[in-house]
Amino acid sequence: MSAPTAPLTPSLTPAFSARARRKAVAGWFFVLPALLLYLFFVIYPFVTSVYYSLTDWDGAQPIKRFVGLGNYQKLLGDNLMWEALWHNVIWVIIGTISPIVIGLLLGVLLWTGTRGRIVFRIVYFIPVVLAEVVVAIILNWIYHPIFGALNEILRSVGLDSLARGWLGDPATALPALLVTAIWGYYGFCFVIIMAGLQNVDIDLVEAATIDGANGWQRFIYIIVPQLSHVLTMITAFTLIGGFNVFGIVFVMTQGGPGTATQVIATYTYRRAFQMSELGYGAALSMVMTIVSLIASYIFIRLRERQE
Amino acid sequence: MSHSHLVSRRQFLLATAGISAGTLLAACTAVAPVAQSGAGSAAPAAEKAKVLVWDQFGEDAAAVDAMVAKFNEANPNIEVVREAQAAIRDVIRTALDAGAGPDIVYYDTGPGFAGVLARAGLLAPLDQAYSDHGWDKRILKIARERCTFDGVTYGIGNELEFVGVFYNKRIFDEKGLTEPKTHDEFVSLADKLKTAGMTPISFGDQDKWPAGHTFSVFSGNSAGKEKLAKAISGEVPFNDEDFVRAIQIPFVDWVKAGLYNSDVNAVTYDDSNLLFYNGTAAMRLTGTWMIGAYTTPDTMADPVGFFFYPAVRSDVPIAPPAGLGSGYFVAKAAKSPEASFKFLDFLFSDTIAKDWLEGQSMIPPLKLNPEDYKISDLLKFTLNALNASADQMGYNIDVLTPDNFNTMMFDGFQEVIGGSKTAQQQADDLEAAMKEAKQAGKVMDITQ
Repeated sequence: MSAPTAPLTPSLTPAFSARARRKAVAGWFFVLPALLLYLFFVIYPFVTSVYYSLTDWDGAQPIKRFVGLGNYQKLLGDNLMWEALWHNVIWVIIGTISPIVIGLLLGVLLWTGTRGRIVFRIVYFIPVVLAEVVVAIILNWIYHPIFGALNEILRSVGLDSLARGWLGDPATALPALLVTAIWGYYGFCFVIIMAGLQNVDIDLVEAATIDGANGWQRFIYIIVPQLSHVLTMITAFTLIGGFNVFGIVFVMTQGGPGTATQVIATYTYRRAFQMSELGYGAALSMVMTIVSLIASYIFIRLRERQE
Repeated sequence: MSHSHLVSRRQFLLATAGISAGTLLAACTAVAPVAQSGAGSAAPAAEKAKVLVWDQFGEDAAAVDAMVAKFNEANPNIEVVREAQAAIRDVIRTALDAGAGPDIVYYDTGPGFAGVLARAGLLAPLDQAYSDHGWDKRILKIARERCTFDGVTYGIGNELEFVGVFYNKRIFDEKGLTEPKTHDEFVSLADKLKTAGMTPISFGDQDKWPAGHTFSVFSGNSAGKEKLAKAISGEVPFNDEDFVRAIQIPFVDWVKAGLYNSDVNAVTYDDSNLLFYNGTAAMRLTGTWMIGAYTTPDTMADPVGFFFYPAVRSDVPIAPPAGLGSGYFVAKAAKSPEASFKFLDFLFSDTIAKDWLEGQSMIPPLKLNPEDYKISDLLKFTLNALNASADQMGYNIDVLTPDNFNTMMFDGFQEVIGGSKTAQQQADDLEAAMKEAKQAGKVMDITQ
């Protein structure tokens, strides 16, 4: 019985290996263009940034003096870096929770059936279509201390005492920027959540209704758990965005007044390009990368553990 | 039969793999033909040298475009192409370093700007060009000095300017006010305007740099020219009482006294100009680069006057900040240095001075008689003042100080204006920044 099978093994193995090899080669050909682009535009700059962070390069001199971990040691004693990082933490917490909560509430409200759903979707999504700089300029005008709509409205309803230079007051500048970011981003969360809601099992919702669950209970115990994958994705995305925030801050306040709205990315830009300390700026960008990676990893692990 | 028209899996894989590989090969080999075509066209290119100029005049600087057109017409063998760059500081180092930058760059003249490029070997030394083209006799001394780093000249400074007080003549006439002769008179005048329900001085510091000019005015008038030069050179501390006073008066006392519009830190430089244009504010402490806008009826209907900010101390003469807006620098890798020098020679010739003054409302670094040009009275006054007393004028500090010092100035003044920092704390921080820069060898010695 074993005689007929014996010759099959040697004849099949080389044929299989050759075909597998050909497949592997073809696979590499498919992957290669994207891989080369990734290596060139992501890995190479990243490795170069790591190298620059170990030098005192000013961005112009041909010589890049190796300083080892000197820039990282300097970071530890840099009060402005800690202040900027703290602003990032505030940004991440408020700027992550708020647009997701707003998007979730709006999404569920529309999902439960409202007339003009498409119009609402478009209206909510419009800020996402606008470039970050455009969003910043629009809100800049709204906050304008002399001609701004916000102060005009406050004055027109007798709340003159609340009218102020929103972006020039250290107490209100960061919250004003956060409102801008939330307005520009909640539409994205809303659209993704709306897409996720299409997969929510209606039978479960109906069963819960029959069992006597009220609207809030159905929302918390039936709908939200079924959106967990979508919410995890959006949260991780927003979390990373919160650590990388740059455009809105740069356009609206340049980190001011003083350093009241300085975040790691604007501080990195300042050190690297305005103060000609590219090596130190690279070290700051490494901090930004590591912090956002750690935060995202912890969050995703926590979600996985819950599931 | 239908089988013969189908592409087999193997054929599909081969075809797509071939396309991928082919695309890559094409991408790699595309470099060679470009290089060859460049080499092939070298001969005709040599007949007409191209000079690429990056400047910061903006896309719609018609007067500058006209100068370029005049040059191209007069020099058929050279083609100058001007490109306005909005964020030149962000790109110039990388562009020059990569050999993809301009042949000529119009850039700020300070050690934190052109000085960085010069020390990195990205700019061409111009000492020889100065003597070859007679610039050493024609160009004003200050325009060369401010573009000289470590004893080598790299550029020609342009846009001579100074900072002082512009005022709305209509408002002054209506209120019976005259130009103040002392600091106390100025404060009393501002108080009168405030009592009359006006904004005495428009000031917007959201952009951060305007406070640097205000500080320059008060530093010059409080410490005097010589002491300020020593401080900028790191020889006198910036937390000296004269500089504390120069912070205290405009950023603490005047804010408390309400001599400015509200929310200074939230108002931009442009918006503070609007307050002056529309007559909401009676005075404006800024530079002569605004003369063009202040004398154009479309932007400012009321007539505008000017005076230097009066002496802060009776024993120290005024030293209003004077300097250069920017300067022209030739890249070390300029494809045709001679053509570049020829263009600069043209820009700073006596015939083109008219275009700078009348077209652009800017003062080139040449000895000029204001009466020879059709210019506003304000620009004539500026030119006469520069001709008469440029040597006694002070310094625009941020043009001469290193980056870390400027950052401390700009952030710190916002904090002082906002009340979260005292004048003394800011002065101490400025001195610490200066010490750090001196240690790093980034301080320019302007005392010689």
